[in-house]
Formats: sequence, C-alpha cells, structure tokens
Amino acid sequence: MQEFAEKLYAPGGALEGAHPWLISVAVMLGGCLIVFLFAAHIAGIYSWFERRFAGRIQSRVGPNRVGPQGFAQWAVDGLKTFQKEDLIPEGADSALFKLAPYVAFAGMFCVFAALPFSSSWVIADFNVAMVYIFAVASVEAIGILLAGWASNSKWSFYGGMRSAAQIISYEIPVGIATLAMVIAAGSLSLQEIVRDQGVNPLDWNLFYSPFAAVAFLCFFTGAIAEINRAPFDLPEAESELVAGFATEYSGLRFLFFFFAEWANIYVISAIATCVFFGGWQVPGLPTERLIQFGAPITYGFLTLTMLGAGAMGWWIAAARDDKGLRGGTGNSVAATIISLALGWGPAITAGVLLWAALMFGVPPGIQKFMANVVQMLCLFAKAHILVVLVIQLRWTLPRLRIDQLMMLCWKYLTPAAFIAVLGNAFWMTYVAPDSIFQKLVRLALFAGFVTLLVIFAMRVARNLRQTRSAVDLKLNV
Amino acid sequence: MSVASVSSSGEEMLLNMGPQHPSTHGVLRFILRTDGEVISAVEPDIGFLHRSIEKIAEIVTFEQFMPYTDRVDYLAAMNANHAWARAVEEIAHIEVPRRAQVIRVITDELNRIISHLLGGVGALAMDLGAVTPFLHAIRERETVNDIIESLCGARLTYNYVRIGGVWYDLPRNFADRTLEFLDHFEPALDEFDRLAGQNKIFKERLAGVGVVSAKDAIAHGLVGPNLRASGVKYDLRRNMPYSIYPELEFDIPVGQGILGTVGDCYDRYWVRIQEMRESVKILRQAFKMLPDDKTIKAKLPSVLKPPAGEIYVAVEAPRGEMGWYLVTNGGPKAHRGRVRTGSYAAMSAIRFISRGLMIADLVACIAAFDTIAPEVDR
Repeated sequence: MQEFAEKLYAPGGALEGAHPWLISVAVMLGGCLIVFLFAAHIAGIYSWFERRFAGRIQSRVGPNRVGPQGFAQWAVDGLKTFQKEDLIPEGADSALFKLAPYVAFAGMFCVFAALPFSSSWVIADFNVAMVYIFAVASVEAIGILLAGWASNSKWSFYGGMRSAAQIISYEIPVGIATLAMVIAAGSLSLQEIVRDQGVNPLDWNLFYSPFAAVAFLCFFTGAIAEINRAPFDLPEAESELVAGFATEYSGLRFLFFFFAEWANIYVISAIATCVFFGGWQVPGLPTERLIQFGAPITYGFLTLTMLGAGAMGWWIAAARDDKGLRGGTGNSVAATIISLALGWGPAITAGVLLWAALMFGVPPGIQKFMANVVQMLCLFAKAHILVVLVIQLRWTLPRLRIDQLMMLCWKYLTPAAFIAVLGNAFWMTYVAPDSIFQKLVRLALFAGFVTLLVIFAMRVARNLRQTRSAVDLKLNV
Repeated sequence: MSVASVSSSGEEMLLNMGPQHPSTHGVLRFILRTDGEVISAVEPDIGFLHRSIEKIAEIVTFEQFMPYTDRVDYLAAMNANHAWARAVEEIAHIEVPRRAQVIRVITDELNRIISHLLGGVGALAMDLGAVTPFLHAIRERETVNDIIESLCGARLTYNYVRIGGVWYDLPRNFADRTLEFLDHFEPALDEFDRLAGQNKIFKERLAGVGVVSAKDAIAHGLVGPNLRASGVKYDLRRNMPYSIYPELEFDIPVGQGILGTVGDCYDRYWVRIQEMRESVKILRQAFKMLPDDKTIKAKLPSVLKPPAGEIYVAVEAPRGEMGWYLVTNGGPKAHRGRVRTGSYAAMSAIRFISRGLMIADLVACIAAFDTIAPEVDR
C-alpha cells in the first residue's frame, strides 16, 4: 500500500506534486475501506455458510428461503438488526456499554491490516507483523470485558471474566507456537514468512520439522480458544450464562459482536494458512510464473465471469416463487431489472472485455493484477478448509469446563508450544535446509499428513455406512 | 430463602438462575451463592409451574381427569396416563383386557424411549454445549411422534389411555412402522452414543460430577434411572410388577461407575442409554404378544363410582416412580389425589450435591437428573 502511494506521488506518477503525506493517508483509508467491505462480506457469508453447514450436520435444512440456497439470508439478517431497538439496560454504564462492541470489532479488524492477501496486496507490510497481530487481537478481550462489566448483569459479568481469563491465557501458547515458525523463517513479517515457504506443499512450514506440526496443533487449538469458538465458547455458553457477555445487547451492537466472531474465524484460519500452509503461494506456480501466465488467466477469469453471471441472470429470470411469480419479487419488471443488473449485464460486459483482451492483448498491469487475484483466491481456498474445520468442531464437540480449559492451556498447550520452539531452534541449528535428511523429514511428514486425511475420510465413510440403515423411513406418509 | 439470608462476607455473590434461564428445563429457579465459578450453596425455588393438578383431581370425574395427567409429565404423557388409569382400576377392581395391557406396555416403552432421548440424554448433551446430539435425538423422536400420532392423533399430550383400557386399537400398519423404526433406531442410538457419550470432553465433563451414593439416593427418595445409576437395582416393572411386565424378558441396567465413581452424572447418562436399548427389546417382545381378541376396553358403568377407600399405585415412568395416592369416598370424583414424581425428589438431591461444583457442573447435574419443571410443580 505504502509502495503504491509512493508510486502515485513520485515524479512521473499520476498525482505528482501532491502532498505525499495526504496521498499516503488517502491510500491507506481506501485500502481500509476495501478490507472492511471484504471483512463484512466474509463474516456475513460465513454466517450463512455455518448455518447451512450445521444444518447438514444436524439433519435439518438451515436457512433456504432468501436467494438461492438461502444465500442472501446473511444480508437480510444484517439489515433486520439495523432496525431493532437499541436497548441499554437500566444501571448499565451507558458509555462503556455503547463502546464495547466497537472495541471488540476493532481488535478483529486491525488484524486485517497485516494479513497478506497476495504477493503484493497487503495494507501494511511491516516487519513486526506477528507482534502487531497479537497485540491488536487481544484488544478484543478488552471489548468483551467492557461489555461484561458495563451490562450490569451478573451473567454478562461472568462471560466477560471468563473471556478475559481465557483470551489472556491462550495468547501464550498461541504466541509461542507462532514463534517456532518465526524462528524458522527468520522474520516477524507475515509476508516474509509466506515468501520463505516455497510454492510446493512439501515446502510449507507445517512439514518443516516434527516440531512445526506440534506448533500448528498448539496454534490452531489456542486460536480457536482465543476467538471464543466452541468447544471453547465459555464466554457465551448459552446453556450456562444465557448469552454470556452479549446477554444485554441488541440490534446493531449485538451484530457487531457477531460480525467480529465470524470474521475472526477467517482471520485465524488465514493466519494459520500464512504461517503453516504457505499463505498465498499457489502450489507449483511462483509469482513470476503467474505473471507470465497473466494473459491466459485473464481470459479464463473473463470466461468464467461471463458464464457465471450468465447462469445467474438465467436463474433470476427463470426463478419462480411459490405463487409462480417471477424472481420471487412478484413483479416481472423488477425481475428483469435485477436479472439485467446481476446477470446479463456483467455477462455481456465480461464478454466484451474478453473480446477486447483477445483482440488487443492484455496490458502488463492487468496481468500482474490477475496474478494477485489468483494468489488471493488460493489463500482463500486454503483458509476456507480450516474454516470448515473450525465450524465442524463447533457442531461436534461439547464445551469444556473452565478448569479443564485452563488445564488444557497451562498443562498441555503451553509446554508443548515451548517444546516446539526449542525443537525448531535446534532443528535450525543442526539440520541444513538442503540436506537429504531435511528433505526426507518433509516427505515423511507430508506422507503422515496425507495418511491422516485418508484415515479421517475412511472413518467418516465407515460412520456413514454404519448409521445409514437400510430402512427408508417415509416420515410423512 | 435460607441461601439468600446467609450473611455475605463480600467474597460471595448471590446469583439468580432462572426462572428464565435456558437450562433449567422449564420455569425453575435456583438461587446460587457463588464464589467466582464455584457454588457454595444452591436453593431450588420451585412453584413457578404449579397448576393445581392434584386439586383438579378432586373436582372432575375420574375419566375427565385423564387429559390433566398428560400435563403432569408432558414428555411421558403415556406413562402418566397409565399411572392414573391403574390407580383408578385398582381401587374400582376393574379387569383390563389383555390387548389393552399389551398396547399400554407398547406405548409406555415408546414413550420411555422418546422421553429419554429428549430429556435424559439429548438435553444433557445440549446443556454441555453439544447441540448436534440433541438434534439427532430430536430427529429420532420425531419418527416416534409420527407413529404415536397415527395412534391417537396427538404428538405430545396423548390422552390415549382410558380407565379400563385404551382409547383406540392400534392402526393397521402400526406394528410394521414401529418395528421398522426399531431396526433404524438401534444403530442410530449407537451412533448417538459414539457422538456424545464416547466423546472425551463429554466424559470429562460428567465423570465424578454430582455423585450420589446409594445411601444418599435412598435417603433423598430418588427413583427411576437416577436411583439405578447410584447402584440400586430397583425398578417397579420388576419390584412391583404390573401389566404384562412379568412375562417380558429385559434387564435392569444399574450404574457401574464406568468412569470411576458409581452414581456420577455419566452413570445417569449411561443408564438411560441402556434403558432405551432394553425398551427396544421389550417392544419387540410385546408386538409378538398382541392377542387376536380385539377388546381394548373393559365394560364400565356410565358413571364410574369406585368404592370408598384409599390406595397407592405406581408405575415406572421415564423419570422414575410415578405414583398416585388416591382416596375415594364412593362418589364419581376422587376425595383426594396426590402424585409422587421423580423430578421432585431429584430437586432435593441437587441441593446437597451441588456444593463445591461449578456453574457449568450444576447445569450438567440438572440435565443429568432429567428434571422437568411440570413434574416438579404439578
């Protein structure tokens, strides 16, 4: 971002002569706005995804009324909360009560500033990114503690206290586990840690040494606890503390807490991806290669957009609601406008652009842009797998008790994280990066990882076989 | 309230759990005195759901009272119906036809399965934070609800049992549907147990929590699965046999202390899971015992007037012994009715086991005792 701003006000740049400081701030704010929109959509879409996913797990349907597969549910839910009454309980500390959700939200959002989206897309690529992330992530604890304290409710108070104890404790194993990988990469910058890992899955940090795998387990378990997700959702604990720190909240403020929660799932998954799974590195395709392939990627992207938007337009135009009305709106003019705006319009635009690209070639700037897009999608795909894991854990496991939670942190995770750091330090000192031993270890760990995945898939298949009885229960006859 | 009146040193906090709280299973209230997360005293404050059911028993006729018994325990209305019907039949010396006896056992055991699914193990898993097992339990319960709906048209408050028999005969495909469900249910129950009961966190949360020794259990009048989990082999279906139970083969599961302590919350969970398996056994046998004689209700006078007297008759309901103490004066209405329920006894046990537990443990205890508010208050 800073480089982009420098380019703008440098001699020969688009805004030559403008005040450098002003341009930098404007560019940063612009970047923040983009990331805010990104975070909002991520949080919303994951809230919908989680509800659908949980529905599948629990033999029910989940939201399916608004949009295809209920996809627009998150948007209408968000809009609905806007109109809800903003209640402030009697005796609450009004100022702190109002402030708390935004503090919690800010803690989550600030992390985005240091998250690298691709080889050149990162809001602030600074050399202490890991330290910064842990610093701002714990701001969320302050927000929740404030909410618990200011609500003037004992249940909220319990939630806030639990949250503070939990987040502060779990920061230690999480921080130390990441340190193991910081040692290996030799940098605190997240972008550097990603660059340090090669393009191939074998070069990912996860397979660096056996200690790296331990570090990943510590990091991921601890990170789930840090964002208060089940099985560590004690601060909310709906069966014990009503709704924990969020008990007294309503409307937009409530929304902000949950905005932060769902965006946090993506945040921890993205950090885990960057530190252990090669971040935005596209397997087999280094950045230079991707830029070389910029033109074909552009063609492919435009073709996909054309087909996708066309299908969307077709779906909207052809969709009928229960009463047989077009587009579910009951108004065929509106349905036509929507299908034009969301489907046919973009499809035609993409088609024209594709034609232009094929006729006149793709400019180098666009080629670089498209390479970044591919890297971002790759990061997103990797992170998405971890998000699915987080969601699956939530809908499978019961909640821990507070003493068990603390025991897990201090008796198991923290020592394990220390072992991971020491182990990785020794590994760095005594195992040469290009030695045959290192390569064998990587291969063995990779094979072990794949075996684990296969065993998991086999167990899932076995469970499915065992439970699916031969009897088809026709429930509604 | 004794808890509230204890003078506080400032270290402890008074906490109201309920009447509106997600895991008190209805409108119950617990007054907790806590030091941080640790509970030093609990006072169950009951009576929010009192509906004067026992008083109503005195002002309506015996047959009219049947729908009210549904409301004594709405998770096991069949068993509650059965308890009332048996009390009146015993005092009026009514012979119930064989087919009705078998049908009553079938409906009782079906109801026991779904009551355990919802209250005994499903809600327990949910109160521990695992929502999925609960919904899987609800899914199975839904099938039984459909089956019972085909029998009597109701899905919760059945009002199916009649004094001297039952309301309707079984519908044509009832046996097939039920047996089909049982074939599906056995592996589904195993899956439920793998998902919830064999889970490490689930076991850790329940092991050694809320231990009730056999002596304490008897002293506090615990009944049913709660009593058996403490290691006392006492089941009315065997110890005070009624209906066709003496002819059936089934085991009485007793708490084994699988995770170390006999009578902890995990034993209560385990006993209920085993009981559902036994119920499946009973159901399979009972369908084979259905007689061809289609009489389902004894001939009764249009106005039933049992002779004056008093009697205590109990059945084994999912939450333990549900007994009616009935005093009659020769008229068409009861002189006095008094129902003894399992949840009420469990309330007194909660008071003494919860000292030193954490709030999360108390929630687990309430659920593991399978208390429901209507049974506590009546």
